[in-house]
Amino acid sequence: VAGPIWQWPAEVSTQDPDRLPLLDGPKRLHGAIRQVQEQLSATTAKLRQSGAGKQAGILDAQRLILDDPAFVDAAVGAMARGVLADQAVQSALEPYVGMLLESPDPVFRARAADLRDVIHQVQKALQGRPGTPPNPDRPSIVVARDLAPSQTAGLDRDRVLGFATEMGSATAHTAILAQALGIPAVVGISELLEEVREGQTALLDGDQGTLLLDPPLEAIPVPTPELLPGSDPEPASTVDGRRLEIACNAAGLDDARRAAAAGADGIGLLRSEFLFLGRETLPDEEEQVAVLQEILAALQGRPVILRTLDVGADKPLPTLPQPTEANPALGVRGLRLQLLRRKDLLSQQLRAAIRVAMDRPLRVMFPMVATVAELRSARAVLDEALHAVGATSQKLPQLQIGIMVEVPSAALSAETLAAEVDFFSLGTNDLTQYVFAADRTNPELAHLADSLHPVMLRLIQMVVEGAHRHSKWVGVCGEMASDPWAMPLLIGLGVDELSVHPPIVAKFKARVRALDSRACNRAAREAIGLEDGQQVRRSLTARGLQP
Amino acid sequence: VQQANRYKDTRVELVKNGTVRDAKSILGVLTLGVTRGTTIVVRADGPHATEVLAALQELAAHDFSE
Repeated sequence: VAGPIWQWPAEVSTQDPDRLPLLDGPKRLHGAIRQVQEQLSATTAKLRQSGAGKQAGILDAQRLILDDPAFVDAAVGAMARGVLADQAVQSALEPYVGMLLESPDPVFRARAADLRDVIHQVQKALQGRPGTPPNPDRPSIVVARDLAPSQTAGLDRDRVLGFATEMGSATAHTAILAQALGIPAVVGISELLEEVREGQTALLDGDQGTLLLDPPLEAIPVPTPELLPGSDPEPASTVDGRRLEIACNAAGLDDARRAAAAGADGIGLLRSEFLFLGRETLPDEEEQVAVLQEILAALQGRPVILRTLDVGADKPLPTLPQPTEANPALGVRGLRLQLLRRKDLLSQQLRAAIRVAMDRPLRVMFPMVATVAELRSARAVLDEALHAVGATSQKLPQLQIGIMVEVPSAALSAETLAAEVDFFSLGTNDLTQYVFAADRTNPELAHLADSLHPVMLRLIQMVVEGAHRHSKWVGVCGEMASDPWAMPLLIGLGVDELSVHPPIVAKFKARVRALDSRACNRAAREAIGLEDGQQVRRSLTARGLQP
Repeated sequence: VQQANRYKDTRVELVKNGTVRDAKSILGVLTLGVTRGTTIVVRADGPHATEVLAALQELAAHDFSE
């Protein structure tokens, strides 16, 4: 990579005790430790999002050190003897740094840098200096004497083209993290800082381990321009002016970015399970906040609907094993599991969501709601979470709360439920399987579960009417939303939002603009009176509304 | 360390060549210098001793190398 040199700002000296009035004891130390742990959680979340889940363990280990009584007790003990807080931190960990440096094994010697990283982070927190690493304001090659693992993990990949350091070794966590994050890096260049100037052009080759200053122009590789996918960020309305939002389903940051690039009007279904997959421990609140904030940032002001954890015996999660059941599809899953077995997880998810929703359009949706009583229990947990975070629903008018409508009993009580939510999202995959009592994983029964069947259309009509009577909106987040046959029917039934796969966003918006909602409504009313899905498709074709 | 810390009421220790370390302390475990192939003794004392030993054995069987 080639780019301008950006010098990592030198650390303020921490040696002068006169500048460090840190006499207020262990309380301040504990506060600093907690602050560093929160920063580490947030950075760990970013690493997991970037696919560096294994390397995130490096920072998990730093968090364990902060929890280790061998450290905390020694530091508090030193402070009780009158040692200043930041020196107490140093003296508590320095013996371990020494032991590691004496190890004959280079792997253990390299771990000394992790302990020093912990020391510096806590000292910075004690001094009230920002914990977030500095980043250049334009894409640059970062040059530093040394980068600690936590600093490397916090680098902004959009603005750090690569980095070079004077210190460091290939076995150091800094190098391992750089590799996992795909940041080209060269470590261990002696007298590096004496050689470079701020803003100077440099060519860094991480594979060769070279940094070339003021390279000849012909040596700089020309970046290949990225092909822009068909993107359509404009809102879509029918010819007669009825707005239909085209959002996307997502299970992580990459999906969210794809959705934003495609011009989606939002995320209609964010499957929160992704936060819990591919890892050994459950994510804490801080980590969830950090990930959600990144996703909301990717959507640039467009709304995101977070579906709370939807797992059960049929949707297993390794970190949350559940006993097997005779009928898992009808068992303890979705909101049921959260209310019956893991209210703590629901409450944690909601606290994280509320914190993000304070300044971003995050919405929350509960899966597998069957009765009004369940909804009220979930709302009680939400109220507790609001209280815990120090918010109220009055203060958070933009925090919309909705439910998935995927259980027939919920569809049939839509009007009652609509009074107590802000929106519905039809989970047509499960709704179809439950309405026809046909296991959706059994291909022999696939012919039974046709979401275009008039019975389904009637049920959807009932849900939309129930919602609209209370001025609430209805979306569709199941496969039906991405079915081009279904679109005119759903518009005709009054659905307000479709959550589709990112690649078809532009195509679907174009289709919306070509349709007339009045013609769609006539088609839907006729379809409801027909016998089966095949007849519905024939009727659509006769009206010129086929895909 | 994380696994051992799940059992608050049970003491867990690692022993290598006569050196004993608290298995719940990452600093202690790290500076014990256990590399792949090192033989260590894990001992536990408390209401969940059997469980914690089984859990750690499971972890070892699944290769917890760095």
